[in-house]
Amino acid sequence: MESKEKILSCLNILKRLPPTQMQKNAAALASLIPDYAEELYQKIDKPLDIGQDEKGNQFIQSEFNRDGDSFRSHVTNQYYPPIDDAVYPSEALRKLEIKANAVFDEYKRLYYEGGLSSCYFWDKEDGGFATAWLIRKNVEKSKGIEDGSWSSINVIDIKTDGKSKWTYKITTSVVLEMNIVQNQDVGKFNITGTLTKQKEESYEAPAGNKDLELFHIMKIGTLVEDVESYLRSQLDSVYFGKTKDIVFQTRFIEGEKNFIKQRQGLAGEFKQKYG
Amino acid sequence: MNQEEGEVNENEQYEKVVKYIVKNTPFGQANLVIKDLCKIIGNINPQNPIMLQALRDHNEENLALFKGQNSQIITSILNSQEDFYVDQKNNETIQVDHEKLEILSRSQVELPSDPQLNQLRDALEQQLNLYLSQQFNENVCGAYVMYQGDASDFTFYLGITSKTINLPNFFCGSWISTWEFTKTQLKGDLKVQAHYYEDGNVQLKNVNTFSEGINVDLQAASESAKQIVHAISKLENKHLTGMNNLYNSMPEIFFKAMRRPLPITGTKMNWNENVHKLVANLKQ
Repeated sequence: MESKEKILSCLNILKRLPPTQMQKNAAALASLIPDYAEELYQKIDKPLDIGQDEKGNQFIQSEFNRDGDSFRSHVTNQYYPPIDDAVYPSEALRKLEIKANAVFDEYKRLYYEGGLSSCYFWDKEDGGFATAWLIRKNVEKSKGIEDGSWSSINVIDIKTDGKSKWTYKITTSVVLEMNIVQNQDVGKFNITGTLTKQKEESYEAPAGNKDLELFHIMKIGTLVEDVESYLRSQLDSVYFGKTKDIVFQTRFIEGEKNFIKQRQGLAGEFKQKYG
Repeated sequence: MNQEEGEVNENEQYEKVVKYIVKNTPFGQANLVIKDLCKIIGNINPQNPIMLQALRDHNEENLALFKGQNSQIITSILNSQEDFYVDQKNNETIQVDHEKLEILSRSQVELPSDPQLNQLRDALEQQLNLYLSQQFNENVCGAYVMYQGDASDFTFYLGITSKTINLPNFFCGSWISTWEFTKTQLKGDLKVQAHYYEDGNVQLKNVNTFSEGINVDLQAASESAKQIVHAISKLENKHLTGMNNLYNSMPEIFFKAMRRPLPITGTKMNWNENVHKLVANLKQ
């Protein structure tokens, strides 16, 4: 299918460009394939934007609470700017949404000590439902960093087998940026990264479906916590560190090359002597 | 008439996009990106003038290294002409294949030259090659030296570059430093890039500028060359040490400030307890 190939090529290219420029990069590519632009936008992860309602309460803007050019607030359940004929979660789902936001806010407090969180739920045609648990955290002018931002996008698909088994499939993406505008030793320094992971778990519902809502929130929350922690650790210890390795194997630290040669020389001598 | 206008607009539009995308592509991946762009645009191949121009600009900005039988040349904006590059030292014009990074042909040409400046240039080349062998990975590295003017009023241009390209293991990096000096002033720009994209996508972009007073004595070419390359080497080493310190402090000053590995309690969140407590609060 032609559209699939073109979108795949777009995604291939996006992977080679800085992830926090995703909006601009995707828009540039989308202008080449205007008929498939919507489809492309749904497949990308970009830093989350923040919106405000009339009282100044903030909420996260994402693909999952968007209708046209308006975004629904998890606080008021209204769209901003207001629109007629928009998509809303069912009443039952909205109740679940309110509870989930209260709990997720606590998670955000424990791990992020700041930032903004939003949970959005929506009904699905297959009888299940889905939810996006989102966090945006900024770090500004602290300890030499001019600005930094973290966006986590957790999307969970929830299905039941009709009896008592519930399956939760989570896809989590983290988009990260660290920006130093002027450091006396290194000048302007910018690292951006994105990483995604998927996980699926199934659980038996509590007997008689007691407190099913709370059950969902616990299960989803635990998955979010596990996958986010994993991604954070990977980005910290593997991915960001890898950029350092790449630089230092391109341009060695003073003396290092001699050191390596010396070591190799000694190893060679050892081999010769002792076979 | 209408169809022509429509076609011209379409060309202009995708030319802008192609230029932007290729410009922001890490060195080593441009050919792949251009192939994908051709697939997206349709009815176009990498030999299209727009693609070739974008690739050429990309190579010049990244000081791409071109290999011939016994030689190499770095292309930059400085030695770029209509469809060839100037090799000042060997008095040649060179044609290259931007896709394959190969030298296609060379022709003799007469270029203005100054014997004293030639001497300094040769000495600088010697020092730079020594510097490259000591501090850089042989993978793909090189340097150029060019000058403008004469013994009474000159500007020298130096370029140093090294690239790590390992596509099977999903990473690329480049070190690109460009310098110019007059009798009394040395100025430089450094661009460091790294890209790792196995499963994820992480990119480093780092730029720095340098400026230092020097004193060039054309009568002592060898000494002057050593002084200049030594100054460059010191500045680059200091930059690298700064990077090392920055990376070492990243877990604490950046990652921890973003998201703790664990809550301050030292244990994971107790979902059961919190869910019941917080939802009960809601009802009030």
